[in-house]
Amino acid sequence: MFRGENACSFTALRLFSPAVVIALFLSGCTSKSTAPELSDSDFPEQATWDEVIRKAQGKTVHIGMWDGDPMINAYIRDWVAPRLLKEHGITLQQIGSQGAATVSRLMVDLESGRSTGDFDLVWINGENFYQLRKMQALYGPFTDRLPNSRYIDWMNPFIAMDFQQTVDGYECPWGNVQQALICNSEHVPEPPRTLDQLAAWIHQHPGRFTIDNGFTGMTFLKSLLYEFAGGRDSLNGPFDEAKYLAASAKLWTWLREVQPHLWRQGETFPENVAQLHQLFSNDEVDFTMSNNDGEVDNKVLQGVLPEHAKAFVLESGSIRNSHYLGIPVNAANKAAAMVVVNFLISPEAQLQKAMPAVWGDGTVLSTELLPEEWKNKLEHIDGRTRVPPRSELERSALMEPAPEIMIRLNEDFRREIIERAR
Amino acid sequence: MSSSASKQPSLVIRLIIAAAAAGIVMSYGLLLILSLGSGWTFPNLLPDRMNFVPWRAFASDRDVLIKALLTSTGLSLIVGGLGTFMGLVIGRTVRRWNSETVRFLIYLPFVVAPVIAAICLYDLLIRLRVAGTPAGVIFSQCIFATSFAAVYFSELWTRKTDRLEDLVWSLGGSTFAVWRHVVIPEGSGLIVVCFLQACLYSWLDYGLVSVIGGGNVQSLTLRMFGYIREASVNQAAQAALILLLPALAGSIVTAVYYFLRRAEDSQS
Amino acid sequence: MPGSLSIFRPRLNQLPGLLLLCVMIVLPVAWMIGYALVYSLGGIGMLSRGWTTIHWRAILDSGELWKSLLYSAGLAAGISGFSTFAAWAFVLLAPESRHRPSVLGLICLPLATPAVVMAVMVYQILNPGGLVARVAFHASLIASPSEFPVMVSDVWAIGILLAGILSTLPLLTLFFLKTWTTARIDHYCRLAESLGATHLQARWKIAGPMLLARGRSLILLTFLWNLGSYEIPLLLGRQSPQMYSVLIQRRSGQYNLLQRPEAFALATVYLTVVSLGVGVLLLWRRRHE
Repeated sequence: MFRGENACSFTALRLFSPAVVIALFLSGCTSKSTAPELSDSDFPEQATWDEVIRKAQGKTVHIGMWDGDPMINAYIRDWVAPRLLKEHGITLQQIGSQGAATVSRLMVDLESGRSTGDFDLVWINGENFYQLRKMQALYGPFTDRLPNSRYIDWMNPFIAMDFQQTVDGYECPWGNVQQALICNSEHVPEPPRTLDQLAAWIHQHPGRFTIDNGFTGMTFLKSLLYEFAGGRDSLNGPFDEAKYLAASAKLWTWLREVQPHLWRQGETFPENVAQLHQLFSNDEVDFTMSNNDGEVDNKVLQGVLPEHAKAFVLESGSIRNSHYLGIPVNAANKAAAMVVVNFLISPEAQLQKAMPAVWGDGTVLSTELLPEEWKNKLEHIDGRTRVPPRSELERSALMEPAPEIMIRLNEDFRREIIERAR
Repeated sequence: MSSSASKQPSLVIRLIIAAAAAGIVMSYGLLLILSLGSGWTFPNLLPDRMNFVPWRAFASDRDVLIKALLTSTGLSLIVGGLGTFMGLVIGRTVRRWNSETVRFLIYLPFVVAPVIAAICLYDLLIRLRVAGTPAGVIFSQCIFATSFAAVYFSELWTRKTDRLEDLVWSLGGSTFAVWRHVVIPEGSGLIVVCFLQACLYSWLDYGLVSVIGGGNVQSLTLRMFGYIREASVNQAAQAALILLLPALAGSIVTAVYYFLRRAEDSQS
Repeated sequence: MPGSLSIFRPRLNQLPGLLLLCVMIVLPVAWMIGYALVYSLGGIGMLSRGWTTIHWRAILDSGELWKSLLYSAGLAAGISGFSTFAAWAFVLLAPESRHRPSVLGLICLPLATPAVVMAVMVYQILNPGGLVARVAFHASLIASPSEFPVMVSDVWAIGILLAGILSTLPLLTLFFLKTWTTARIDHYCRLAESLGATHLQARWKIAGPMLLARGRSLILLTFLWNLGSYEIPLLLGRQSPQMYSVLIQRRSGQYNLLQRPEAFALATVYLTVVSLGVGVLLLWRRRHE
């Protein structure tokens, strides 16, 4: 009955929609790499700190950060956020987003010319920093404008360098940690200390060791990579393809030898460190690990890890690094973001964060530069009982290698180990 | 009248039903028990501490669950209403056209995985300046809710209603008259069911809200995945129960309605 | 003249439907497919170096696409197939269940359970630290979680299959029960019995095929839904092979941004496959109407 009109309606539809879509694409294709334009009225670069604080009043700061640890979430939500609201009128909202996902989202923002993004602040690390700098997605330099940055230990290469790159003021150090293995001291009274001893232990105790498929697991592989590359400092400097290929070949060989004796015969790995902790506390494995040497005390207090958990590092060393805070170039509230960063690196916030009962995260502040009162407090933090003191661990500290290594390890681990598992 | 209605089920069927009931009680009961305490260390059967911490936190708004609950409720009602209305309009149009190509088009979003659609649509929503906002989530969820409703109405709309519509047109009735006297009265049952289903779709969505919402739109499903990432067993169980509430309520309402109808039928 | 003009003038009351169809369905779908295709070919993208087929060649050569697609299709077929068989068998054996509130209640509850909740339940029940393992421990059947059989993130995808079946089976059961009434299958079975067929023959040769014929479209739909399943394999699956939606999500957010177009190539393949699926669905319907 309506065929004639229906046909012409549909013809109109068929002509209309592709034309609109093509127009949209053409408009999109012309903008490849777009740093959104910032007007001076958004954020005057010459503003004094008092002007920054005034501009920050009443604003909401969205911080994109890893949300896999309830204690860290509680620190942000229950300690940091109320103080920011009270002292500066800033509302801090946490958005769960980590690493590559954060970078992807910022990339899509820039591709489509989005002038105000989802994040005002991002918690980032070396390979993210590398990618974000490449995309010109970070605002800066800004760290020298923060009053509390005068306390930062900029002379420490583990703080001033991020995955072999100078930070140049485009990200602010927030915490400093060193990776540690955590073992069940009842089942493993004498933990293995070298790679050979670890391999032997894995062979003798099938199904009791694994690594996670996330950031922590890849960091552990990086520390093993140093050993296969020739030891400490062997991977310092810019990315060297030949060196990486030679070292990683040995790493995959070592892993494949132990793989059949790993948890689940190495056919699958826990997706993240939280799942690995759960396996450990369920007594499915005898080892877990953490990028934070202070986490073992924190997690035992929390009840996540059992009392018999003890942390240690291998003689070949473990990665020590800092984690940072960056401000995306399309952040809506840059002034407020800077005030938040300044607060987070204050002695008070750093001390709170360093307590094992709260987070156990190492400080980036130099105790030499701090007023006496804070120096004493930061040097005498109680509760660190299940891991050797920092001064002892530092002797085994390895610098983060170039960011390309993290990118390559992720891909190659999947190809060489996961996809080749029987 | 079929005699099968009064026939007793065989032993096998009774066993199947009993096993299903036991499985359901165990599964949902486990969620309830886990939500009542803290921790669940192996090999304890009950949580380590039965201290109602997840529910107390919920009541005190220390966590963001109450806000997530309100967000999810608001989104569901809006998406349910808009999706149903638009789907009704489109479904009736599709039915009149009887074009296989158009039918193909309305079916397509119905089967596409929302998370994949979200990744492909994210750029468009940024250009429309709705990415990371409730409006963006509503728009993207409406695409799928509308598709569902369009398929639903195009399949279930009756010929009787079509003829009534034609009758009103032929007697000089306006569009408003058609809707008032034919569409709404005749289709009220279908509309209500579609509205509830569309609401439920939005309530349970994770893929779209996690990508399009950008973390700014904190729905219940997002919170639930957050607890899962934290390996917070108890709070994940609590969030799961809250997610189930509307569906459970719907089941109870349906069951009560069914019993009332059976009672009326047996009395009449 | 008026005749030739009138073919360009749609009925006014069709316009709202046309407009909404265009805005809410046609444009977004066209954008999805077009954006994914153009991105995968390097036409757009911040790090794009121009039009290229390198990303398509990479995913085709790596084998990950076919492995994941076949894996996803296999699991989707397993879930839909088993659910269909179980629902069909149940309804054939006990069609009178459609009048029992207890059965309807048992169906409605899992039917109303979202995929993510189903996945969480299955995980907490079946994982080596879950409920069944704990009961086994207390029953002295195992001494530690390591001794418990692996049913989550395992090579046979037991967890995914179970969660998928628990989500799909209630829908198909309800559908078949309703179809028994609307298609008057009782009537046809009695007719067959009055013509000399046994009770079993009537169910097997009349009721069974009728149920399957009428359920054809829904069965295919459940297959397509399970093909794109995300929450269940995200929580219960392994790293390799991964179900297709999880694979695309991972590839779209991976460390190496230069490989992001590969995620869109994968998305293009998926959209093509489901489009073909919908086409088949509509063809079946048309042939059997």
